[in-house]
Amino acid sequence: MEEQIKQLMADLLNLNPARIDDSTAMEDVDGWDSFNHLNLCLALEQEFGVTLEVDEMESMTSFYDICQIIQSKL
Amino acid sequence: MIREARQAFLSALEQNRAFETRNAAWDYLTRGEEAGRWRVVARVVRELPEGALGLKTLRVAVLASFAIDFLQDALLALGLAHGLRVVWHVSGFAQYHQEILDPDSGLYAFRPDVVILAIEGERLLPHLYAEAGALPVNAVESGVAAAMGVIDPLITALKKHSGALLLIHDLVGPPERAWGILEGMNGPGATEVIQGVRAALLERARSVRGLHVVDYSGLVARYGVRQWFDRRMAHLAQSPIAAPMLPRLAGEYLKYLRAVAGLTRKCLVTDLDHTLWGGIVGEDGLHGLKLGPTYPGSAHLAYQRLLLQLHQRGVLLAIASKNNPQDVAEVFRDHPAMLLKPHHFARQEIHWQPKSQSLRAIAQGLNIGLEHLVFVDDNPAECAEVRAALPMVTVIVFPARPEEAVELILEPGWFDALTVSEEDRNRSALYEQRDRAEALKMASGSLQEYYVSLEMGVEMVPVTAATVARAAQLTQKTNQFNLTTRRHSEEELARRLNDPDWLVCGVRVIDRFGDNGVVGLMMAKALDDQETLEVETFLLSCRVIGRTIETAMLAELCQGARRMHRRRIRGCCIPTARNAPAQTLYPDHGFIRASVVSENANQDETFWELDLACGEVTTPPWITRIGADHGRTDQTTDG
Repeated sequence: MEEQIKQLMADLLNLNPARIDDSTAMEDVDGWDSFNHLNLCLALEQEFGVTLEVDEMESMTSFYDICQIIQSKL
Repeated sequence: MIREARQAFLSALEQNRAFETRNAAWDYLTRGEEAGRWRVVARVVRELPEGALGLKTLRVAVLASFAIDFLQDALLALGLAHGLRVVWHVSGFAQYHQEILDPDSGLYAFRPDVVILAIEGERLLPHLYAEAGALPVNAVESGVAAAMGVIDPLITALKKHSGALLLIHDLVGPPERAWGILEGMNGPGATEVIQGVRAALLERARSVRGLHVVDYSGLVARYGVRQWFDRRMAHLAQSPIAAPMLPRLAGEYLKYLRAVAGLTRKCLVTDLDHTLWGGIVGEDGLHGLKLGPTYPGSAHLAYQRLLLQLHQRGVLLAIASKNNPQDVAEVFRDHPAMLLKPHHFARQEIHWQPKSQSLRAIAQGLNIGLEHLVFVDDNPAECAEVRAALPMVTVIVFPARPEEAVELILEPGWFDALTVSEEDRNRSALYEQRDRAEALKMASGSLQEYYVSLEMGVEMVPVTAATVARAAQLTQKTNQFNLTTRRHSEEELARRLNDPDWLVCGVRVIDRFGDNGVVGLMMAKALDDQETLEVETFLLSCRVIGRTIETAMLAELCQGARRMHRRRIRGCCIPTARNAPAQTLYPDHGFIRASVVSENANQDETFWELDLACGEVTTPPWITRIGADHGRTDQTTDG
């Protein structure tokens, strides 16, 4: 699952998946703006077949948080 | 982690293989499961230079009353799979008024080829969506007037400031019924008002050139309102369309974009066994075939009905089948349920040679490019063989559940064109005529005897408002005998009609087999130097190539130059992969190579000039000029 999330983040945010780790966060990544954040949330929903609550979308602003929230939904 | 379909796409791209990249992108996007695939392909498109991978560039501006930027990845990605490099412009949501009305806006600076206007019903008729008040008796009239009062000035301004094709969404009604089951019972309901607006939009589209109504309500209905919209995103980001539906909307737009770019498919080539009918005629025999009122025969019959409809629309049909020809002939002759008859098929390739060879023969026989073929076959191995040998052919695997075939073939809109002309409706009959003409060519000895035997008549038809649609279509669809391959929209052409410096002339050809309709087009401009008539477009449909019609056209140009007081004709030839038959037109008719500095610095472009003082082109003796245009008919002499 973590690899899948890494690949998705890499694709949407134009990152090298090998360089994504728990510390990768919205405030440090160029291009991880609010538009791309929504895109990423919608892509995560499709990738994992889950539905995110709006407050979950707002709080999943790092690789670590994303993994935590997706894990809790599976 | 990187999956197969994605890898196939990336490696085709890396090897710079044009058609393979498109096909791999199509597979990756339509069958892949990675949610990031739209962005992956869209990023590639954004980085491609103009002309890369043989893609046609189209500049698309999208104006919406909601945040539509989420559509961008899907449109760019699917565009690539369809052979287009889409350049995207979006105005801030709900700023469409300013963008359209201000001639100096970013919209017009973008120089769009296509403008898409998507205004939601909630914006145009807010009370209809917000209130449960009883609608007055004249609600339909007043609702239509209110909506069109907003839309009409936008259409007028867009048409004034831009030659772009304009696509306008129709409206989707309120998702819930404010009155519940009483909706519409105590006065007109919202649905009737919405349908009234749709009817008014379609009426505008029928009278305003280059305006089309996107059947958005139909698209939403096909997938279902509850699936289509994402209320959470509507509230959160003013983006009401659910993410999984965005590629569907992009696909709808691409039907128009493909048609604008001249990528409309012209011919459907079908397999027979397990496709046109259930079963294998060579094994099951005529009476063992599944074709008739009960399943699965009824589903194969539905496929036949689809082909018949396509035929009626002007799409050519052909057969590529590995079979014994006499078995197939027996089915056509004796099976009581067969809807399609041999005369519906412009070509039949029934033998045991590879299908790629059959497709080549079909394209050659019909004189159309392989990229205009759609091939339908149930056998994955045959499909793979064609894809590998002829990657430019659109290949559709006939589904194992035959009832899925109609939607699979129809939904992508491969055959959609922007206009339907009389020629389209008669096209199949015209090809039948051409077949007979070809047979005659074989039978007659010399080429001149052949020309004489065709009994050709040529009429030079000034293009008018009534025929400008056909003229634009010719520029969009003609690839082979086309000196410059410049595509034009109807409105671009319409502007030239009233300009005395432009000669815009259609060419109608009649022969002993019938009337071929308007099959040629010339456009030339009298230049300010008072000496030169410059040919901007010179094209001839593939149906009548090789009959010296082009000589008669050049003769008409010479006459036109004299009428316009110009002493020299200048033509330009832009070579493409497809227009080899046209490339020697000017030197063959005594034009001399000229050095002209071209504005757009196309290196391959060559210029040719004919000084009328030194000689003129005359109509060949075997062609009769018909129609007393300009009060004069050329003399015909006997061979």
